[in-house]
Amino acid sequence: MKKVLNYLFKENPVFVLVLGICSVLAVTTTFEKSYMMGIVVLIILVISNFLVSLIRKIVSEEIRIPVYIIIISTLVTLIEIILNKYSKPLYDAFGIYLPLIVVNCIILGRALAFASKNKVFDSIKDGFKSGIGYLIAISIIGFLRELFGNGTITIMNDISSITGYREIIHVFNNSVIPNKLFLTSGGAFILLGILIGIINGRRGEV
Amino acid sequence: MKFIKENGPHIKSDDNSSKIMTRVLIALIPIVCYAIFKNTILVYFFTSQSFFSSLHPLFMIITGVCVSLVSEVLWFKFVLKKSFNNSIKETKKSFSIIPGLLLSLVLPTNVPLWVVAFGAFCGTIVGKMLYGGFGQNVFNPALIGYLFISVSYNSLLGSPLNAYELDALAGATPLTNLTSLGYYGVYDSVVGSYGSLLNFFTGTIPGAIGEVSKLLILVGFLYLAITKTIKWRIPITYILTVFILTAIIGYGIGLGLWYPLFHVLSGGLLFGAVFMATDPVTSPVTQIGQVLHGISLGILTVAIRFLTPYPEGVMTSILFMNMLVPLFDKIGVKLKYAFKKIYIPIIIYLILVVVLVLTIISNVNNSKNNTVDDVGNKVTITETKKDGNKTTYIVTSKGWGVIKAEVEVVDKEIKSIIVTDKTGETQWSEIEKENYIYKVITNQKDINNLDAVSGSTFSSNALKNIVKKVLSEELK
Amino acid sequence: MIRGLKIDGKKEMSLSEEIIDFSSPDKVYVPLMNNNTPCDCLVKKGKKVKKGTVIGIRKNMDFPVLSPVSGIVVDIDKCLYLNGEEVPCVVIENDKKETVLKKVLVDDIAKYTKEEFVELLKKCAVTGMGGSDFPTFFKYKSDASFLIVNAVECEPYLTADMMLVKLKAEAILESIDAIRKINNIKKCFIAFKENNDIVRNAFLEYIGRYEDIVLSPVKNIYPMGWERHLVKSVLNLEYERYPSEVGVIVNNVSTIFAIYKALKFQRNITKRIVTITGEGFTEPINVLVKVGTDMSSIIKKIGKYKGEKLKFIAGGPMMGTALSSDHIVVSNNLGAVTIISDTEDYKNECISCSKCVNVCPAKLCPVLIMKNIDNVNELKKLHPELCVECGLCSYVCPSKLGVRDFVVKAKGKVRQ
Repeated sequence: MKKVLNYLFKENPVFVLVLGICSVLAVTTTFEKSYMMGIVVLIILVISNFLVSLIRKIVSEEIRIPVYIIIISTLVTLIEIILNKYSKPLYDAFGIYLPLIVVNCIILGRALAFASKNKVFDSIKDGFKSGIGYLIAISIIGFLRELFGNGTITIMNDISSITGYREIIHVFNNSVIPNKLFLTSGGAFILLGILIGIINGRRGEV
Repeated sequence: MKFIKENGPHIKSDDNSSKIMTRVLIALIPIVCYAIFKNTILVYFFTSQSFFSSLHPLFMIITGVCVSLVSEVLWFKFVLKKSFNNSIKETKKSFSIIPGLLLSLVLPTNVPLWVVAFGAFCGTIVGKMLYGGFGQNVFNPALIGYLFISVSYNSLLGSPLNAYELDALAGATPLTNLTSLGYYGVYDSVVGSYGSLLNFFTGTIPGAIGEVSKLLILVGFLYLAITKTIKWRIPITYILTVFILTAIIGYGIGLGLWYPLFHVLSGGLLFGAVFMATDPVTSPVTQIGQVLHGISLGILTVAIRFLTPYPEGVMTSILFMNMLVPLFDKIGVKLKYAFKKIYIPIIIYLILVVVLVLTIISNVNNSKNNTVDDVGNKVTITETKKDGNKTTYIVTSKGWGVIKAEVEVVDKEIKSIIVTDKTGETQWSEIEKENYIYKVITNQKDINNLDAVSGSTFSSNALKNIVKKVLSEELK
Repeated sequence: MIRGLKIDGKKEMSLSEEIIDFSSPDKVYVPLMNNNTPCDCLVKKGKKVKKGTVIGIRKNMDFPVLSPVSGIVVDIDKCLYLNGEEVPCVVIENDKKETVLKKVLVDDIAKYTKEEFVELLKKCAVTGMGGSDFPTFFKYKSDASFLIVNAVECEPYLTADMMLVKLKAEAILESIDAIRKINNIKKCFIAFKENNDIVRNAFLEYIGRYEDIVLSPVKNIYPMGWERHLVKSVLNLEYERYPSEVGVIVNNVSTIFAIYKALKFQRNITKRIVTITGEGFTEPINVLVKVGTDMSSIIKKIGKYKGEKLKFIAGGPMMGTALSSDHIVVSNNLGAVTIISDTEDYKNECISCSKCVNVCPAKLCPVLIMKNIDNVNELKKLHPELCVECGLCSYVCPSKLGVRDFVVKAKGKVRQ
């Protein structure tokens, strides 16, 4: 439990470092989309950190950034192709934000700040830490947005073609009207702001 | 003998901020009374609603006032960590009940109380306290609350008619009616269904509870302007600009003097101009700045009313111009010392006005000429697939955004409509709740008499137009 | 457009009785100050002085400070001046003989040349008695076409100028006519508030003899006595910095009387009328006192203070300074002492109601200056140096903020 809190409060890329916000705001309209995006980013982060730190001594200073971006975009394209084949609804739901993972500040940022200067195993651990932090953050936001904005929690819907399991929980019955503010991007920004405020306010106590 | 040593003038005028707030409240009293009279007493005596549920407008006002007061006290106590006594003292001096009161007066009468509370809470906290408290806010807090309500719970703002009016009239507010007519209509269809322009003036038309009685708002404005409580230049320039612009547009599309009068007397224009746009903290201080503020508000309101699907433009334009207040003040200061340069803003505004008016006139005239085939340019058939006696039409139809649908027709009768893309329709859940597609298909022979779903008129009309277009295509 | 505000004058308080003559004090404390510039002392303890002896000098203008009494210099001490500060002063013990340095009586006071006139004003230390204490000879160095005599007295509570006009209207008119002839001025105007019957009736008795002196009633608003408002209201002219640009000289009516003394008797003015007024004093009245008198001794002889939390103000309540004690000495430019009680407790935030912008006579935006007080670049665009410190912005503010203090602070910041 303490470890989970650490991921949330200490250098969490979304709440503390405020990186990679555009994907957080855009794809969190359902819970399922958010945690799937978190898992995708986690996988890409770990593999890209591993690869970047492998070749860190060979690549020269001037062409670092284009080389890293090539690595990251290759990984993203691979994931795109896999998702396109196995779960078209999810691929459509992500839309443009799946290719935009290439310029997600977390991945490029960790690659430049950590993986290009540290050993392989440490880089994998760092990628894992940031990725889990991102996964927890984006899942919380997706959960809250869908709960307040739609009155449902989608555990699994779009990727049911792989898992064969479909579950959408309707939390409120029809008499409670959901608050459409949270389905708009403005509402997502407000929710993100409130959470950043709460987390940073409590950071000293953890 | 010890004397007090202090700076500055040693006599001060009698007026203070609390007296200013009291005067604004006095100007609002007739409006509150009329709101309660119109929506409570008339409803109770002429319909079968119980007295307690007819008192709903009174409860709305009380909720708005109390929630804004309480949320401000809570903010002072828990976030700014002041003692309870100090919080009460601070709340007394800041104009804390005015945002809640104004918000409850611009809402229609059927809004549930918890929505009013939500709006008042968000308006006070986000619109006022987060910006630094009283005297530091950038946006009008009542309008921020209204914005939150209209984004979160838009469906609940849909029907502004109280029970008495639903018996007497059917339909929407005058401005929504005008929008659905394509901004053009003869006197009888635009004004006539509500009475005459005198009804608009005294306030026996449907609308939000506080903004219908223009007579009482005018009386309040005269009282506030004579006692020099509000910045009177802003409402006068705002309303004059709207009047002149709609007069030119009315002349351009061939309607008489009643058209600009209708525009000035309908919707929240007078209430917004007198009580919302003149909020002292969020409006310019220089005189030229105030005039520019009023003119810009007028131009933006007319643009929103005619060029966008929103029927009213007042709240949005006031919020937008609140952002530009420092710019107007800067121009006002500069022009104080270099008055010759006033021709620069005059030329800019003239160009804006000419472009806007010409665009609107040409738009309205175009849609006027297309009434013969009024469905034609709203629905397009992109693909037709024939499969035996079954034909499938792939159509796009203009709703709030654009709807894409696949229509299956067998023996000149629509069998099914599958909507493939409805991302632009923000109120689609209403359509689904009412099972409207089923109704459209069942009533396809008599589609013109089918009512639209309240709260999503545009999406309903889009579906109806699809039926009309496809059937007319089949009959060829 | 003449901007200002109508303020309740409260002048009836001190007009009910005639003026009391206190012009024979035992000691005078002559402050060594002129127009807020310190002057050097030219006498030592024990020196015998007569009325008109030079006891100090303002170096940069070669402008003298003259003794108002005859007697012996007993001390060089400090005294409380009307700006609230302790300034050096010459303490003279009055031998009550009123001996003058040189006894002169001129028949036709218009028989001076312009150069003699300017030199005489400088020698007799004539200063602006309306509050500025500016050496008057400097204003007459340039050529002028019009003279405006300021008998407006727009500050509430003050009645000293009115009483002077009531008693000496004939001499004042003679002086104005002489100034007109000496300086080749085309026309002279006497400006006074249109509801001020005392001044109007006092002048109407004698003004028929002078066809080039015109009575000009002006609107009853504060601050009508400001030079710029007078020039605009009486002559409909506007200028940038000084009235001399458009050929106008503006003088207070008490200064005109001081010029009369200089022209007729070729000596300095030694006494003036001071109004003691306000709700905090039991006997509001006008008194005739010598320059250098300690006002506290006079106040004790007339009446008592009444009420709590009193303020003792040198000057009027709008532009005067509140002092911590009542031992103020009379200088040429002290027109009144006002004693009122401090009752204001209300305080709130600025709501940008723009009342200060609507009322400022210098057409500034005090609220914007207050909000930008830390940003010198923005302040320069708002021109705080044009402020006259009339105090209307703080008077009218509904949140009772000290707006004028911010503008004065901004003036200092912009000057650097």
